[in-house]
Amino acid sequence: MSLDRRHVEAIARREVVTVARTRASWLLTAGIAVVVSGLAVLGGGGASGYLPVVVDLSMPAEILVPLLAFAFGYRVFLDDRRSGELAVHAIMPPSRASVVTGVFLGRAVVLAVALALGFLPGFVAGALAGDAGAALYATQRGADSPLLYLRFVSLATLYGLSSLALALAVSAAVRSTRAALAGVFGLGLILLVGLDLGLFGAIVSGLVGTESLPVALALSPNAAFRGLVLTTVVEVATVSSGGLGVVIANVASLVAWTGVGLVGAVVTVWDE
Amino acid sequence: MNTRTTPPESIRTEPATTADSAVVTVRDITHSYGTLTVLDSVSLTIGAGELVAVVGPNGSGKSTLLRLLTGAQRPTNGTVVHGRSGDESTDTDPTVGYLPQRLHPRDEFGVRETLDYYATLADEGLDPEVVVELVGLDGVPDRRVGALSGGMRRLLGLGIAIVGDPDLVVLDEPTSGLDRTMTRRVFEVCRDVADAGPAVVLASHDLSTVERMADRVVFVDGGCIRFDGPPSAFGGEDCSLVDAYDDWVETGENTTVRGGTR
Repeated sequence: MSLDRRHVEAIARREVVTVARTRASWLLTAGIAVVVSGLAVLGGGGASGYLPVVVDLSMPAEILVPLLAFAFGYRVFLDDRRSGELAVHAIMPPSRASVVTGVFLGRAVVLAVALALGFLPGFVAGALAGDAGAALYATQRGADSPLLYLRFVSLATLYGLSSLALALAVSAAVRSTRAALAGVFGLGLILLVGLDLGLFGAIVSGLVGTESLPVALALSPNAAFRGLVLTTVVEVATVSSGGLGVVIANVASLVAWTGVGLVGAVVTVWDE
Repeated sequence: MNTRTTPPESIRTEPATTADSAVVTVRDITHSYGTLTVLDSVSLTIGAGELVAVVGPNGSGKSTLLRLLTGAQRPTNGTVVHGRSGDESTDTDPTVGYLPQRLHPRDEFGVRETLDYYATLADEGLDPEVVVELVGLDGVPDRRVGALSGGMRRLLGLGIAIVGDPDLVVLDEPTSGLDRTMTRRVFEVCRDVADAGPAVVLASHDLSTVERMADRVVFVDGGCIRFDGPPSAFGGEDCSLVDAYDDWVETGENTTVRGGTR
């Protein structure tokens, strides 16, 4: 399970180059940018400032971000297995952990760039709102700021990384495109809908009390992202925030999901 | 007309390989996929500098044997020992180069880029520039893999297998889909590699080239090794490897072209 920096770097670089040279990646990014532009304009937030744009985008981002991450990750190991390259990697010095880490880091860089570009129209819309107060680089209560939008995109990236790691786990475990698609669809359904519904049921039945609700909400990646956006972007600029505990719980959830995905990919990518 | 008919049930000439020069030793391995046994009690020792051709009908267990030789797959029973030290570990050996039956490196990369990548992963190895020349792709070093012909991709695969300068090179049908010139080229490269020290094990259906170029033929049929020795010994003095092989496949009662023994 050792990690070799040289191997990880080489593998990560290969992933970046692969995606950068694939037209579909750019089309996907452009598609996200178009959707973000449309939401910023249609939602009206673009006429009011950065924070209203964030409010308009936060819910759609819960779907758009994992969609993009899944698209970048769900076939990586599957394609390498089919092409025979995984078999070649398996007998070479890099460990499974190095291969998975390299692939993850490379795809993570690409995903971060794609999300930055994809959400750029929202930033432009906020900037074009023209409110002089919005230009303040401040995070104190009541102030709109470009920093809030940047924070939102950073949180979206963190959320995207957890989705990417889970997509890589699916990619490592499956043996066909159909299984990969079914895997990410099923996973998306469970994470985006199932956990929320389960939590809702637990609240209704009294299993989860109001005092533990903020932490319980952090269980699913999308709820953790939602919680982070609310506590560190929206509430910072409006009302009092939910506290450090909630932020830590939400960040820990996203990190944990990322870890689960990576470990899953390491275990299943090939037998040792 | 050849006078030699089929070889006996199982011929095993005395192996030329001594324990000291062994690069890989296979000890009584059996391998199954579920209830299907594809290799049964196979033992084999391959020494440094040998060019060994594994031949046999489709589904006879050649590819499985090669995968087990790489260490990437563990046998159901028995051991595969890499190295000269007698190390009993069956873990993946870092000095093995492998060309799977189907290898299609990423289309987005050039020939040299692909070899650079694998050279980096191999830690120590040959200069990718030298490998490009060695496998005959020096005319197209910057051509994207997606634009290479099937034959050129096989040559690139051969380059990937040898760029790490491994002790053992395992090639699963490296000449599949290649014309005669390319086939000869691949065997010449394999011969050169073996002459430089590493052992080269390849599966091939091109028996006439095998007869000319290989040091040893391992004939696998029905999951068992039926013959292991120099190509000239397979058919006897008056019979070519091709004719003896054809006789065996056509008349041998134990021939299993259908995929292993149950």
